[in-house]
Amino acid sequence: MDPDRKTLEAFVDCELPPDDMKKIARLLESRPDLDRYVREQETLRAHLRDTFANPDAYPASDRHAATILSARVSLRWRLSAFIRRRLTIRSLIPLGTALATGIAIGVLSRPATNFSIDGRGQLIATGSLADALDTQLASARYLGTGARIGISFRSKAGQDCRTFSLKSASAAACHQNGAWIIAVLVRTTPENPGAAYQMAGSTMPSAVRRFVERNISGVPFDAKAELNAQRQHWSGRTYASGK
Amino acid sequence: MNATIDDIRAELLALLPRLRRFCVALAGSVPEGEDLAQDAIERALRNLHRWEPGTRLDNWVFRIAKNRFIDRRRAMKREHVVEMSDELENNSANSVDGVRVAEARMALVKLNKALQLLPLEQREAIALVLIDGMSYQDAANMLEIPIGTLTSRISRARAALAAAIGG
Repeated sequence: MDPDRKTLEAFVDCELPPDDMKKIARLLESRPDLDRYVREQETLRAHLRDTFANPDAYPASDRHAATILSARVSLRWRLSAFIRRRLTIRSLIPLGTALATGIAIGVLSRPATNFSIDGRGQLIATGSLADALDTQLASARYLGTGARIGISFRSKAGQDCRTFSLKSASAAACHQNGAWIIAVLVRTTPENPGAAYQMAGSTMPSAVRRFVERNISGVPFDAKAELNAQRQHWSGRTYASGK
Repeated sequence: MNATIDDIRAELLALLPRLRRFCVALAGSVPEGEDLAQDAIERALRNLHRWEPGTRLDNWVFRIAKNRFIDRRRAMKREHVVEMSDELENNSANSVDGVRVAEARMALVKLNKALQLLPLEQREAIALVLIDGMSYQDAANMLEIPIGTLTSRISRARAALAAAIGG
């Protein structure tokens, strides 16, 4: 029996089990009518995806990013997050004191952030993330800075760049004029949180990997070159010893 | 480990391109989609206590965007009509990349016009699965509908879109 339209569409969307995918693929070889329908659906899908994903179609704007970085967050969330953290570390501070301390220093203070928008509208690393990118070596295990460093490399443009991961995002940043410019930032899925902490290996998110592959000059820094680059304040003057 | 506000902000930043596409597809125009995305972001941060840690932040933000879109439409009490000339007005066709940008925006406007012919329930299904690339399961979870309902909506939308674009 011929597969129905929904089955062929599920084939286009790669939503069938592997055996069914193979079966349909074989069938299409001998059924030009079904093959034509599948091709039409593939074209439609690609057209939708490419048109909406084309950055040229959208005006350049940093207002969304600026809002994310600066908007006040729900007071109730900040309070509960503070309490959760306190409970997690099993603080001996009595709850009442913790609450008062939280309100005093954690909740009402201006929220700190790892990111900011600079005067040119670029997303840059700030705070503990910038500190980690400046000082943390890849060999250092998670030090509580919130960032895990992946690989470091010299870009074709001569800048020193580093990949890193946070709890729910992975990214690459390049050092320019004393700041770490975020070149790519991708969300890591909650289903696979470990991936965010394994940036040096094959689990690097594909968008970050593509950025590295497109921009790296030579090979990633080895430990010695990374240390040299750090001592040179990531100025792009050092050379990877692996070259 | 509990998510900190920096984790949340980083995740929202990473989500931005997807959220913009979703909002533009729902709203039918870039300017309205951008406003919708802005609205969704502000509401998400303001109501962050309503998000359940451990669940998907992207699904929650997309749901906010969708609900805000419905609210805004009700408030406007009119069908939105995309005017190609309005969207292309601000395009600087004389700039170095002007032609490329104009082509990209025109393609988006045309496609959006076809999308706006679909009922909202089909449009959001297309936006999530065909444009955003979500799996059927994730999209069905986000929309809180069975997978069969989702695939039926997508199938009807595909036929309508093919007719609209082809015609």
